[in-house]
Amino acid sequence: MKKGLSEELVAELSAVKNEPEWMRKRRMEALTQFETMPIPTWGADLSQLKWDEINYYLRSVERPYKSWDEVPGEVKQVMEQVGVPQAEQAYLAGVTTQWESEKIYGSLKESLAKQGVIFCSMDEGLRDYPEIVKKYFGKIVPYGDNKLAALNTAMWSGGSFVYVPKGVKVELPLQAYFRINSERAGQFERTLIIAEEGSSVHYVEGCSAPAYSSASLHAAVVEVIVKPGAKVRYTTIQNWYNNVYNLVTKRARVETNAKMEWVDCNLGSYVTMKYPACLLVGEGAHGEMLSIATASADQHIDAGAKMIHLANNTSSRIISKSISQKGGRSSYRGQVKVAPGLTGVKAKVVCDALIMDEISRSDTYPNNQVMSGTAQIEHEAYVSKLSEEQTRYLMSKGLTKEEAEVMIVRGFLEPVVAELPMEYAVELNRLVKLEMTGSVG
Amino acid sequence: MKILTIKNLVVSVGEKRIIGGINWEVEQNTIIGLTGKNGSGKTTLAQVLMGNEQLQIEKGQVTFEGKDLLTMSADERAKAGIYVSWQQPMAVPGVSIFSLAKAMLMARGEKINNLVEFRENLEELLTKIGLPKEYAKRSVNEGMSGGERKRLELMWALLSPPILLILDEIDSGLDEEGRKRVGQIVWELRKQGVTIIVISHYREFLHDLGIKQIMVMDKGKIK
Repeated sequence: MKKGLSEELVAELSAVKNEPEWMRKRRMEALTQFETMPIPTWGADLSQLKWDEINYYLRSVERPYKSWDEVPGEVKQVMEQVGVPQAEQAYLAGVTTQWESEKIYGSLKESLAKQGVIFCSMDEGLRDYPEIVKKYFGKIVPYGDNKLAALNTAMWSGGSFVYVPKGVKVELPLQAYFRINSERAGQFERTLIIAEEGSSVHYVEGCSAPAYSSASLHAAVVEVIVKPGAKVRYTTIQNWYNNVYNLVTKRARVETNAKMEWVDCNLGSYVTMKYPACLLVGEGAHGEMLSIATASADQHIDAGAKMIHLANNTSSRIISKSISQKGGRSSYRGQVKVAPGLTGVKAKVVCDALIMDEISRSDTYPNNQVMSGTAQIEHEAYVSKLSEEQTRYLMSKGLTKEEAEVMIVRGFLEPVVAELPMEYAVELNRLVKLEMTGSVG
Repeated sequence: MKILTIKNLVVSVGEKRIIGGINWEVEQNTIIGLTGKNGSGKTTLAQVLMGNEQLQIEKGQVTFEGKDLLTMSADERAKAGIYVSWQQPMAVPGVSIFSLAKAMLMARGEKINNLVEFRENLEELLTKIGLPKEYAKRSVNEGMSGGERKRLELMWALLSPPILLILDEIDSGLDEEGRKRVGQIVWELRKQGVTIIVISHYREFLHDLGIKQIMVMDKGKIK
């Protein structure tokens, strides 16, 4: 197993995937860019990240487990406790065997296909729909954007490709684990979603159960194009194991009267840096971010959102909820930018942080750049300690201290959790309890 | 039979002594009024019985149904059958009345087999205390008026009737209709065998409730 990154490795990856020349070239350019760009010195501390020690490419024979039986009992147990369906458990553990979901979701895939909806892995997308991919790939997040985007472009593998034709409204959420991958490559996932005019789609990735990973660096890139009048919601539940650096670039281009919603829950990882963005380029475009971050012992979650207003009458809303406990640190870092001379722009930011104990930490770094005199920008930030009065109130009704605290925390997260698909909301609530108390029972 | 026995109870908040040696016995199956001026220690006494750990118990003993109450946590007391309504009930954002009702019953070891039936029962109780049944979905006390919060405090007692009910200024903030309704419910619980202590500034309210035995608290003592 070779460590570190090299031209040979990138060439090998591209060759194994049998890619078109333009993609191979793009990967090589991105590699050069990666090598010349500085490591970010803002946000979370990345100075301990040993770039040369990382396995950038896990060949199929080097995957952590080849069967469900090899998955550590601890991982299985948590999945059971949180109530993750069996089919999903295997996927999350990185077992590459075929699974039940083929049968379960077969009919869904069929009905999507009838409407002309494409939902496949990015690798399949590039192979089967090369023109669409070539047209949009790297347009929203070019490799020169940041060091991690360059790394992802050089080494991407897996991720989803979603194309929704004009006017098609996809009723059920598209869930990433529906995809049958011949390989699991969560390390440098690349996702591209195109919603044509007047269409709508809800994409869901991740799961609330801890996702075991043998790779210590994950750098995904997500690009979303929301055409006029279309609506996209992108829901993430991230719960990587506590050894993972999770450095993600997510960005959407939102056109005239279109709507983009990011729902982002960050529970796991060692370090997370993630600031999903909306480029509001068309008049009347709306961007939204609802996020949850929970930081426990040794974790630093540095997350937020960017709303870039580039057209008249655009609006955005950011609601960020964070919990710091057991010595964890969560930071909100967000940006609202309004281009000069725009009219009718509205933006609202609400940061709500809950600190559970004396050893935990929460910070807020808002950055508003407003070049328009008429823009209405609201910013509210709240930092609160877990209320002893509320705890006492609930205890007087018969709940133990622990039950009371779990209930208060769930209540605090409720505005965002209410936006999740039902099964995820249930899992997330169980997980919050598991993180706070060590059991779900 | 005595349900509650308080012996030589002395309680302080910070430097200040609020209760200065109470001796009091409460008979089972009775309803007692407790009145007194502001600052006489009525609420402190209620909070001591509830298990507010911020209060410093300097001396004394409290026995409830033969159990040493002062060694029990607030939730243990609630589960043992003491319910103290709050004078200023706390808002708990994001926690619905429905969820808390469910958690309260589960904490008492009750199984809820049919959630639809449970919701209907809860809605019935809400209607009974004069709150819209849609409140089941609302966050506990959040955005509710003082009077509505007081009604809700009583609803929790109806949901799981205690052995000893202590109503701390349930009448403040309530309109006339609300006070009447409280009266009806108090007597309904009384008929079920619940022992009740009603704390109020207003003797009239206690009289209107038909309470015969009224105690007065003054400067931290009961007369």
